[in-house]
Amino acid sequence: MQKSNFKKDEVLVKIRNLHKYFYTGKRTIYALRGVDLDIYEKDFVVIFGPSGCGKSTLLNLILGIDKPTKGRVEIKGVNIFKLSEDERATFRAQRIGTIYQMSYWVKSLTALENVALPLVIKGIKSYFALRRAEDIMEKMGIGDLKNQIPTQLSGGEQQKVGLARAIVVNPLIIIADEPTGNLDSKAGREVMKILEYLNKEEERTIILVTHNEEYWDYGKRRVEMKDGKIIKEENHGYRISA
Amino acid sequence: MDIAFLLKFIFKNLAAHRLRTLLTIFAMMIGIATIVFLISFAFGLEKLVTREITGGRAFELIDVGPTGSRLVKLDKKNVEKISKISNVKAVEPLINAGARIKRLGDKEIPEGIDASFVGITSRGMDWAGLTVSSGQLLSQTSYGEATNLDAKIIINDKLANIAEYGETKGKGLIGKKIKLEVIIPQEISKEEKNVVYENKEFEVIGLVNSGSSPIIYTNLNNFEEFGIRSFSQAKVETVLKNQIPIVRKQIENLGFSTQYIGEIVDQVRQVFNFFKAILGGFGLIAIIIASLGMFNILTISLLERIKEVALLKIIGMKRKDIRKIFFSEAIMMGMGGGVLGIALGIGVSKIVNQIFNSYALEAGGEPVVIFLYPFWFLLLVFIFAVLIGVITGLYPAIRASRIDALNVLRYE
Repeated sequence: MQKSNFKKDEVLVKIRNLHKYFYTGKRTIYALRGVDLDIYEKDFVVIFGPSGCGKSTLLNLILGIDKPTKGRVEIKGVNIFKLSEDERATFRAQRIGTIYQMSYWVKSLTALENVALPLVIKGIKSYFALRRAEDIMEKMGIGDLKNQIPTQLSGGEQQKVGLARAIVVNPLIIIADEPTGNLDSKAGREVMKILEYLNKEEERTIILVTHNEEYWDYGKRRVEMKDGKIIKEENHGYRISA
Repeated sequence: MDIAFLLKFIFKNLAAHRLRTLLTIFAMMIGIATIVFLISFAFGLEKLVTREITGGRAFELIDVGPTGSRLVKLDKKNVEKISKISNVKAVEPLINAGARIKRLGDKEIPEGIDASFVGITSRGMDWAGLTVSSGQLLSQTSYGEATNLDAKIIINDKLANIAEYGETKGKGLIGKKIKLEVIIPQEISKEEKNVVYENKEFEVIGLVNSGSSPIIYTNLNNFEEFGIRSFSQAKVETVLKNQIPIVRKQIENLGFSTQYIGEIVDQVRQVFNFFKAILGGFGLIAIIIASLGMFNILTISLLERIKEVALLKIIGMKRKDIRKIFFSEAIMMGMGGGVLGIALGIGVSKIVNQIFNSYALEAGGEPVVIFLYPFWFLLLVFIFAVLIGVITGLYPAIRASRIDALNVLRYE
């Protein structure tokens, strides 16, 4: 395993000896079998591997919406599994932005209101929340979508609005689980470019899970998983090909 | 979470399923309207009935009458005794005699009109709630007061009507003389038998609107000349209303029978409370059906929005806030159903009352109010509607807050 180049930066997410087993009837599925990983500030980690290698399980544990069988996840020194479910929810609301393969929406709200939602949940007055959401959307070039109902947008547009929602709270970490999975390659590249911009220009930490080889070269670090373990970790600083 | 946003969120959710929301509120509205309609009917009837058996200040008075014993008579001496019982504020005796009217104004009536002939004091008239529709009331007197006999009377409109003096013609009677036979019943007569005094003349000075049969009122003292031994009854006022039972007992110990209209009214009220419970029961069935429907809708809406709830959890919404959303939606629908139901219930009952009155007027009756809505009752119904929202919203809200976001995403 290669050593990281980013030692000078503070460790943001510290994962130690993480195990997760699922029990389905008589069978036990070993989704994670001892994962150790450090993610630094301003990092852009691409986690890849075949289906069932445990990528999504790892993300869910970092997000704190699942609990590990063994091991711990520390974010900024806080062991998130020592918090209650509601405390973890607040922690998520304040520090983590998420984007998934499929965007989930509150169908009765407009794109703008959906983007503002994490801010409102965080406790910001709706007037300010909506203004900030509008700023972000304008900046990302999707200002014209703000009054649309998200489910009526195209897949690419939905993912962009989803990204706006992920970054609206100014999170420490953006977690992206196959954000391009449902997109054609052009739309997929657009989403990846936005992620790259967010990392490079806005210095946001990004954890991206994908099994699309096309995007493995984005990001600063590459983590390969197989059978619930990290089998390879590579640093390449900035991406080497477009 | 910002309350303004929460409200917007809830309204948008409800508006997104407009038909469903409206149907749910509609069902609730029907249930609430049924309750309002039926129970306000019971309130109205109760009022009608109790008003029929009481008048003036009947609720504050004890009726005292003789028991029929020859020894204990309700005479001046005994009225004096009653008035000396502690906590008795005033006693007003009353004479019920009979009269046969032979001439009314210029009109001779050979066959005669039978009427009640009541001797009453000023305070007695006040207690009975007698007011004149034209002319004037009897002069101020209290019993035992030494006054000249004035031979003045007031008559009720029923008598004026029977004697073919209509409403305007009745007024024409004022100042006219009336000739009648006075019949003193044996219970109060000195001679201990019915005594008839013929050809007595009185002057009509006023017309009152009371009673359903012909009645003539005159000052109690006017009966002096008719050989009265005792009074027919007396009305007793106590210092405080809650002293009525004790005072009654003491009067009964003197050998008189007593009646208190409040007791009768209480019995009537009991009957009506039972009636209300039954009608309320019918309404409740409608409400139960409506709330099952509402519960059903809320549960379906939860299942439909399970992904939304998972999303809200992932972006950090607390369980408390998720509960709040579902809970508020249910309460909002309950409130909507409550307000509209009350409005509908009142509206329909007003229409029914109108229809009823138009028939009553056609049949020669008087218009009556058969629906009553005490404010506290409407408030209670509204609270009840909100409560139904709370109860039906409880389970879906708790269930929503317990949704496992991960499971929802994993099986997507």
